[in-house]
Amino acid sequence: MDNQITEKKSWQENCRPGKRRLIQLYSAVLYNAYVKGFIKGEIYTGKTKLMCVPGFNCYSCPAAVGACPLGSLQNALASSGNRAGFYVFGIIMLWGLMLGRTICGWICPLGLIQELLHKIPTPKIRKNKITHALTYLKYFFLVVFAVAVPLWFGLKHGKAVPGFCKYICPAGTLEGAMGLLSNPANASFFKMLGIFFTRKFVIMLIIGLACVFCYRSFCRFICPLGAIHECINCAKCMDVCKQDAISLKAGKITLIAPAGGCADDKPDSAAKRARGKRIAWAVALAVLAFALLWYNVLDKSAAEINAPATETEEAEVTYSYSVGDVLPDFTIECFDGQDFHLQDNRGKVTFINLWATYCGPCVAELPHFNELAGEHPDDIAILAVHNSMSKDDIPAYLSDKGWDNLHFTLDTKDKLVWNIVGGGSTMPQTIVLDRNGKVIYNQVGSVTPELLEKLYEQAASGE
Amino acid sequence: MDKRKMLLYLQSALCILWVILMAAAAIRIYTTGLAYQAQGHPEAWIYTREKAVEAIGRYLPILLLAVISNIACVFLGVRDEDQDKPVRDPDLMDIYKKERENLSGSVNGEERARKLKTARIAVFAVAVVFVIAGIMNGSMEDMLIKAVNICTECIGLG
Repeated sequence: MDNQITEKKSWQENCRPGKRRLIQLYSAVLYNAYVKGFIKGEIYTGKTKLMCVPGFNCYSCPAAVGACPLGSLQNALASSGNRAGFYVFGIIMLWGLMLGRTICGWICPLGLIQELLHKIPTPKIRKNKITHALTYLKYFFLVVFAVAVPLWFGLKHGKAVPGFCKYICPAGTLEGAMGLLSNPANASFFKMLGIFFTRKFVIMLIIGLACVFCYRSFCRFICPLGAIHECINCAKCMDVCKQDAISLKAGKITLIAPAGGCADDKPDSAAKRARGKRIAWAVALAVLAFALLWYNVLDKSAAEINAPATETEEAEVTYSYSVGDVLPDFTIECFDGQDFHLQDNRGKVTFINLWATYCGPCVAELPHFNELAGEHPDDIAILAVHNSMSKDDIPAYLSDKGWDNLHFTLDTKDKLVWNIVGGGSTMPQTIVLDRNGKVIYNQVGSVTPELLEKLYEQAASGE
Repeated sequence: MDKRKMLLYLQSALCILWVILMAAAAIRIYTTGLAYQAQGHPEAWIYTREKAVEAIGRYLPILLLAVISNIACVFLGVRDEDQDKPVRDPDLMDIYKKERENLSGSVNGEERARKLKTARIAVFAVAVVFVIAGIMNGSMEDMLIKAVNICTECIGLG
C-alpha cells in the first residue's frame, strides 16, 4: 500500500482531475448556474430555491440557484415560534439518508474549494491525536451556533439570527459577501461593512489558511452539516483516508469527517462500465447545459421581482428613487386601517424603511426609527414597509413591540413601494426624503441612532 | 536543507504572510474608519471600494509571488510526499484500536445491519411526512422567502 501511494508521479499526473474532482466541479457549477448573477450583481430569485442543495453552498451567492441546507435549517429554527420548519428538516433527512457523507466527499462546493486550497504545495499536517480530538468540535458548532442561537433569538426575542451564518460561515463571506461586493453595481454595499465583515473576513482567511496545511479543516473541525450527515458504512476509506475520518463507536462504523479522496484511490473498475459511464456523463452534461441556458437566458423570474422604478421627467423635476430626485407619489393602506399618502407628508421629513420580520438587522433597527419619530412627532413621518413575501401574521408580530410612532404596512403583491423606492433582494433599506419629497438618502444596510439623527437634521435643514 | 523542502517552506511562508497582511489590512481599515465615524461623522463609510482595492493592490506582489512559487512547485513536482502515506501515528492507532475493540464487543454484524435498515426506513418515512407537512404548513414557502432575500448580517455584510 505504501509503495503504491507514494510512487512519484509527473506534474501532469498530479494535476489531472479524477472522477471525483470532475463530479465536485460539476456539482459546483450546477448549484451555481445563474452565472448572470455575477454580471448583474444580484441573486437568483426563482422557484428552484424551494429546494435545498445537498452540500454547502451559500444561497446569497449571486450565482446560486438552490437554497443552502444549513442556512435554511437555521432560519427554520429561528421561525419555530411561528411554524415548525418541517420542510427543511425533511429535505435534510432525505439527502442524508440517500447520500450520507457522499455529499461531503463528492458534491459539496465548499469541499472542492478546500481540496483545491490543500493542493497548494506546502508541508502538510497529517492526521494525529490532536486533529482527531478536534473533529468533535463540529458538534459544538452544530449545537451552539446552528441550533441554540437561532432557537434562542427566534423564540425569546422574535428575531431571526442564524448564528452559524452570522458569526462563522466562510461560504457566506466568500460566495455571498465577496460575490456581491466584487460587482461594481453593488458599490453602495460597502457602506454596510463594519465589525461583522471584518470578523468574518478574518475567520474566512484563517479557515482558508488552515485548509492549505490541514486537509479539509473546515469539514473536519467546524462543518455542522458534516455533523448531521451519516456515513453509508462502506468503510472502504479506512486505509487510504487522509483525514481523521474513522470512528468505531456504539457498535457501528462511523465516519466522523467527510469521506475525501478514498474512492479515487480504489482499484479502478472503470473498464467494465465504460459505456454506462459515458452515457451518464453525456446526460449529466446535457442537464448542466440546460441549467445554464435556463437560468441565464430562458428564466425570467428574477427580472420580474427586481423591476426598476421608472423615471419620468416633468419640467425640471426628475421623479425617481435616486438621491437628488423626487420620489414618485404613492398611497398604501397601513395595518391601522389608515392610508399613507406620500404627498400628504410633504413639509415633513419622511423616512421609508424596507424590512421583514425574518430579517434580524431589520428588526434590530426599528426601535431606533421609533425613538426618532417619538422625538420629533410633528416633523417626521416614518413608513415601515414589510416585504410582500411573507407568511407571517405581521400585525400580531407588531402587537407587543410598542413601535407606535411608526406607520407599518405590507407591500402589495406587485411590490408597489418596493419598485418606487428601488428596493431589491437586500434588506434592510432606508430612504430619507426632505420636506419637498426629494430623496437625500437611499441605502441598503442597517442604520445607527446617530446616523438617523444626522439624516433627520440634514433633511430638515434642506442641505 | 534540501532545496525542494526549502521551496515548500517558502510557499508556506508566502501563504501565511499574505493571510496575515490581508487580515491586518481589514482590521486597520475597520479601526481607522470607526475612529473617523466616532469623530462626529456617523454617515462616513468604514470600508470603501477604493480602500479595498488599495489594500488588495498593496499585497498583490506577495500573492503573485505565491502563485509563481506554486506553479514552480507543480512543474518541479515538489510536494509533501508524506501526505499520501497511511498514517501510523501510534497515539492515533491506539484510539482506533480502542474503538475497534468497542465495536467487536458490541452487537453482532447481522443484528446491527437489521437495526440499521429498520432505522433507515423509519427515518425515510419521517422525512417524507415532514416534507409533506412542510408543504402544507407553509414552511416550504418560508424557505423560498429567505433564500431569495439577502439578510445582510447573515453573510457578513453588516
